[in-house]
Amino acid sequence: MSGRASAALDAAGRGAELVRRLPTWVGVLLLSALPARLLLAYVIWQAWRLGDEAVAAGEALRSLAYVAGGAWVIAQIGRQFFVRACALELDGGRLLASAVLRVPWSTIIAALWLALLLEVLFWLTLPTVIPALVVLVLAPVGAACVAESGPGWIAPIRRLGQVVRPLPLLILGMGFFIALPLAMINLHLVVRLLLWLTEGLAGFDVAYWQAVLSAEQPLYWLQITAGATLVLEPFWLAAAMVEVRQARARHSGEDLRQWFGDLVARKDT
Amino acid sequence: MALVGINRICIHHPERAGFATCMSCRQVVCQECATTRDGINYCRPCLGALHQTAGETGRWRLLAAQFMQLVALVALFIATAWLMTWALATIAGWQ
Repeated sequence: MSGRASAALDAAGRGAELVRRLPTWVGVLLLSALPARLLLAYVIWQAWRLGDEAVAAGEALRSLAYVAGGAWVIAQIGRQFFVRACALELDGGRLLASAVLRVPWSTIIAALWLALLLEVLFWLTLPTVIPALVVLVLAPVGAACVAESGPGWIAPIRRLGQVVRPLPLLILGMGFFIALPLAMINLHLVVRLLLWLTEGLAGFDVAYWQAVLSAEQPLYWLQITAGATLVLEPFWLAAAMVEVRQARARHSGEDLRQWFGDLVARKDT
Repeated sequence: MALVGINRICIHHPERAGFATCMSCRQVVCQECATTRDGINYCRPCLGALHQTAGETGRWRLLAAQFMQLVALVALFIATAWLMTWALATIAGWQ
């Protein structure tokens, strides 16, 4: 396996370890992102339902898009808290909540700036599918870059350009797209299990919920997809943070210094 | 620079472990006292002093830059909502 491929797998492994160590901040991330995901699923469902008439109903769809956009802003702020928690955890030492919450406003504005640029690219390229998937993979890396690059118009974009290496991102992205259907199946089974327990053990009438959460409902599958991306988001963000740190170490020569230190230590023992 | 593995204590909180060195006064500070600005760690008093020395002109320039960025954000936000509607309506039309 090439060094870059193993570095990507190492980033995924260390990202999973970070998620295990930061349960509170995973909770903050999920709570902040949940409304945005559910609203996005709802907007997509409305467009799907309208079909050919979606163009004519543009005004109504746009109003929904603004509401989903508002929730998306909150999700981006939640992302910055999580990314900062990951960065502080990687720095070592005891993690203080007050330190994590002290994300400067200028960093949040820079994060929104980069995220909005990527969002514009995503919606612009969505009908062509593949470039949109690339932007989708880049978005969490962008969030991690801002935490490292600081505020400004150009600095986050420049940092993103420095960090992006096609092979590790392709491997991480493929891992994400393989994990997505698995997470969807698991979520679907959890919903079925909950319905069965509510009806079978607690004795409640769940006929309404059986109909709403039926596998034949497109909205249900959109919500399950939204839920699955939500489950995977902390892992993806943490892996992106590790990848950004590795890129920084490569640029500053820190990795060489560490490698030399390891060699010296091995020689001494 | 983060003090990984170095057992020193915060100058303002003796009960807390050191986290970073302020690049202005060279004192060790904890996570709560350290603020990173343009990739450089500062303690709170030094950051305050840095803001003061930046002066009125610097403050107005900073405010103007932040205002411009806010305007750009609002414009991008509106563009995103339009593009989202356009992309979804286009794809929905393929049905």
